Formats: sequence, structure tokens, C-alpha cells
Amino acid sequence: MPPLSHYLILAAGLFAIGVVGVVTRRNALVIFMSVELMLNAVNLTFLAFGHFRRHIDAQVFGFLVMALAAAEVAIGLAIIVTVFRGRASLQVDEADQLRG
Amino acid sequence: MVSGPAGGSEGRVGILVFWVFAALAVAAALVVILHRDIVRSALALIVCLGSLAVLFAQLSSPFLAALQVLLYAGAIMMLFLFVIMMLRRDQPRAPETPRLKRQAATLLAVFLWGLLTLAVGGATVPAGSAAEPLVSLPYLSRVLFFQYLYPFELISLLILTAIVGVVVLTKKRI
Repeated sequence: MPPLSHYLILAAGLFAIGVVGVVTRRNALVIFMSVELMLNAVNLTFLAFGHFRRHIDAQVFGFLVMALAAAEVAIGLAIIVTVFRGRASLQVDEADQLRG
Repeated sequence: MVSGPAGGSEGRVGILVFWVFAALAVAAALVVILHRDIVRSALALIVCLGSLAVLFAQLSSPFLAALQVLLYAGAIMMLFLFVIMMLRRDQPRAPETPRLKRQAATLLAVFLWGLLTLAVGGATVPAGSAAEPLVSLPYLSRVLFFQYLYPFELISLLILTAIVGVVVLTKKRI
């Protein structure tokens, strides 16, 4: 069993990869997938701490995060579909009608 | 997988499992953000979530590992692929983000990773003592349905709100 730090560094790496995805990609769906990646990295951190702390609460938190992610995906994809309907593009840069 | 005392053949297998699936997860995550074909990105994300499920199981959370496969790799990614298939027509090739911006973002992310690693990499936690083994599903369900009953019920309210919101958003006329 590797030590706690291994899991934390892995989770930090996945989180950073997700950040790069959100910042550099322009496709709304890829940005969304990067957000999912970041959520999972956080879950990994929770579970790693819970395992090494011998505490069950971390699993409850992980469960809640997953349920939240499911709700978030449903809403997010609905928004993407709605936006796409209006302008036939998945590029986030082109959806700038609210820009002042 | 309950962690035995470190060392011994079981400990070495655990370390091997960690490295294999950690490498797989990172590689798949890189494919997600780098590949131009969005379907490949989605499939790579499934691989990444699957290898994270293995790590979850290793961290004595078999229930969450199963949920990860069922809910994430199964339901959520299916939804993603469904939307991709629905929306992907012959889209004009969008201009990529400028190279300079990408390099700056990568640099910033490496910096973020280093910062996070510095912050938590050396973390140690005092080993607490759980009343029962962490892998025990009855234990988890007792905690979830007694101690965390209200958050659990609130989640159902949240999901209900999400369902109503999705219907309102996507239906043209209600």
C-alpha cells in the first residue's frame, strides 16, 4: 500500500490536468469533461484521507460529491444542448451574447 | 482490499496496482484534454474514471468504486456520448487556442500542481480508529442513513430540482 502522499500528489496532478483542460480548450463538452476530471480528483483526495485516517465519513462525502456531479451533468448538458440549438456551435467563445 | 501492514508481498502488490492505475489515469486524462476528436476524449475519460475506481477500491471503499463504474463510467459518460452524437455535425474547424495562451496555461498548471504537492504532499494524518472495518457496507449505510440522513434527503431534493430544471431548459414549450 503506497503512502498517503502518493494519492494526494496523483489527485493534485489530475486536478491540474483538469484545470489546463478548462483553460485551454474551447469546446464546451471537453471543458465539461475536464470539470468531471477535477471532481474525481477531489473525490480521490477525500477517500485517501478517509482511508488513512480510518474514518468512514469520507465515503459519505464521496457519495454526495458523486450525486452532485450527476445532477450537475444533467443540467450542464441541457444548457449545452439549448445553447447549441440557437447557434449551432459548441465553441464557448462564440456564446458571448451576454458579454457587456 | 484492507491495507495490511506495509511490506510483505501484499504491500508490494498494492504499490504495483497503484502505480499501474495511477499512470493509466494520468495518461487517459492527458488524452482527454489533448485529443482533438471529442469522442476519443470521452472514451479516454471513461478509462480514467475506471482506473480511479480501482484506486477507490484500494482505498477500502468498494461501494464507491462500484458507484464510480455504474454511475460515472456507465450513466454519466453515456449521457455525454449521447449528447456528442446528437450535436456533432460537420462543424467548421474551430481555431485552436493561441499557442502562447496554451503554454501559459500549462505553465500555470504545473505551478499549481507543484503548489498543491508542496501543500499536501508531506501530509500525514494520525491514524484514527473506526468502530468497524471501512470496507463494511452495513457500517457505511448506518452512517449514511442515521448520522447523515438529512444531507442524503437533501440530495434527493437537489436531483428533483435538476430534473425539473432540465425539462424546463430543453423543452421549447411547456
